[in-house]
Amino acid sequence: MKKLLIFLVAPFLLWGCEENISNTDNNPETIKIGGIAPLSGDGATVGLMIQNVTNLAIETINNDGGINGKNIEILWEDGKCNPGDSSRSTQKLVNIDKVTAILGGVCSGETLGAAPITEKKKVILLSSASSSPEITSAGDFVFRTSPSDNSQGSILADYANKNFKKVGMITEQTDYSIGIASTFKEHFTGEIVEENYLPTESDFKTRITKLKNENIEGVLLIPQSPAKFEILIRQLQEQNWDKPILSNEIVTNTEVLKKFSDFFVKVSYVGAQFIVPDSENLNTFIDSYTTKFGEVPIYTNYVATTIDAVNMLAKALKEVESNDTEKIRDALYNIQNYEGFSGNISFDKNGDINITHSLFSFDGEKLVSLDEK
Amino acid sequence: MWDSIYKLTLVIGRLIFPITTFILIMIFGLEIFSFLETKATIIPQLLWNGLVSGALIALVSLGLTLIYSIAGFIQFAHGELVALGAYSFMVFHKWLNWEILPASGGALFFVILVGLLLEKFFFRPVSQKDSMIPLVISIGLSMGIQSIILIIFGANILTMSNNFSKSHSFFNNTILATYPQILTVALSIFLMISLILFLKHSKIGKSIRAVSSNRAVAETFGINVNKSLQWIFGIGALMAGIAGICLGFEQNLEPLMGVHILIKAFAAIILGSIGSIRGAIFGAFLIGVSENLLVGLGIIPSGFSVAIPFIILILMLLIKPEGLLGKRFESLRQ
Repeated sequence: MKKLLIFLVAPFLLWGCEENISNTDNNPETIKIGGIAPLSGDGATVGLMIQNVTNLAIETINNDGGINGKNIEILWEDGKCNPGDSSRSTQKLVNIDKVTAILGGVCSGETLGAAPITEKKKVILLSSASSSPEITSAGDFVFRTSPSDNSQGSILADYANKNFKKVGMITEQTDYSIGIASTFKEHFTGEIVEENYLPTESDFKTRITKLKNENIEGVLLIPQSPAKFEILIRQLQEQNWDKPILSNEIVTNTEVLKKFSDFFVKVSYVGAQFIVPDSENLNTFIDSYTTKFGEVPIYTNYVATTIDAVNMLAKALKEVESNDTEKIRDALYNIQNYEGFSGNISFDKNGDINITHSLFSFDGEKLVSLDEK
Repeated sequence: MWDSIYKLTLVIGRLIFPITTFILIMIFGLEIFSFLETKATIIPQLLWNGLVSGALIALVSLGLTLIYSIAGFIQFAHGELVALGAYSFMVFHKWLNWEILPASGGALFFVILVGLLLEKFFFRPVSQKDSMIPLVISIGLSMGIQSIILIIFGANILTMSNNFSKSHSFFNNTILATYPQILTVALSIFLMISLILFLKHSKIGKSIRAVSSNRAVAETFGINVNKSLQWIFGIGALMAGIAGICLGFEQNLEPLMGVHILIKAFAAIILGSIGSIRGAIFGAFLIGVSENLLVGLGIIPSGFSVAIPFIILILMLLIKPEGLLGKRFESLRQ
């Protein structure tokens, strides 16, 4: 019984100690920030790339003298592309490591899982890849440098309104995909046949068979990761799919598209993308990334938004010269017309960025903008 | 007087089920018929999809049920043998550029080896102990193997070559099937039949059945129990390996692929009756077909398809825990 009592009481005692222990380093030599990204699982393709880009961008800042002489130190946590793991990671970063800002999450679920915690503790949460529309209203301390899916879902719906009366929609059950799907549903005036799947599934044959019987004129695929997109496309091809395919911006790298180029040319493909301007700075960064990590980063647009996120945070930290997160927040809101890697950018009153998606088709070799046609 | 009333209630009791069914069919029959008519064109394809997924589940559930009937516990690391089959095939075929047949041979050899080693080093030392111990060991092994796959291959989804994903149409274009799918179904059926024949007629098969029905008596008759165990783990691993290769072609490779199919296989053996070969096959196809039909006909929203095996599992455990083809649990326990 005594032992049981000790076990019951010990956590509370330790909890009480925690505040005192971690408050001892009041004058740190470095500025600690946190990083949340999917470092394992489906989302790791994007997550690891963003981790590398962030590290490289921070290294560059530190080599140039850091933040008023202090170096930035980033502590990474695996958000595993879901709200649960992300909120656990955030708790650790916020309560134990006492970070002033967190770069991340990458998946929308991660950012949405982290936001309530950072908001309560007044910690800056700056995502460079999350795009769920819900993040717009996630809090005052939440920012992002990538566009919201609102623009993605609505331009896809505009395109569908012009071309189709009835479409099929296959959505992965994740915050990111559902976000796009709901915006699309809001704006599309025709009829939608909805099919969903969980992230753990990879057999879509029956859903495709069902859609083929529904007299639809096109299908919108909203997967969370390029890997799932590839499986979906392969099974569509196996089922002799012959209707146009629309998709979210998941396939920025044309490698997946090229694997099925004959199929895409036959059925026609239209995808939403946000493309960053081709700049010398970006190319230099990509070159140094390639030499350092031995591979070319696959999502150029997210490379740009991630560098911007790091640089904008650094700019705000430099201006504020303290750990006062409310001042850092105001400094971030005050950044207007910043010449970043992803264009001339500013945050709006919700912490969203002023860049949008546009539509592209695939001609068998490369993505072609539909606006220019 | 009371006697005739009793008889009457018996007769009514016996008739009540067929009569209500008849009335229900009379009322809803037309609607069901017209509903099926609108979907008639896709039903063959749905059945085929179900058959493919059933065949894959059956390959896994057979090994699971065999191990249960001999060793007396559910081998949770069995799903990882599926994943190992798929990954080792990919190593031989894609990384070492072997042809498909030698690559499959290599992968199956590797999986059987792993299966036998697991048996020798982890399950045989505790084979006389309470069945809880090997069960817990198998859960640990499952996590261990998953982690090893994660360390070596990473968490990314890998895809096998897609040279075969061209489909061919059969029966007036009502069914579209790829060669790997046809091969999966054919192999699965062939293996089921040979397994049943093997257990029925070969000497080792007979000794396996003897051990399964009463271990102690079989031992006193001089049957080598350890040898039967080895055979069972070998056969189970072989089937899991084949399932893994087929699954790799059919879907994709990810570290948790074994767990996803093991859950379905687990539901299948409980549905069919745990420890029974025919039950495992029957349960596997029932789950595969019902999953695809229910989603394909729109009876269940597609987001719930993963839940179907669990729903079947829970209903079965509540209503008929001994399984569709099973005897009462008590007699199995003995």
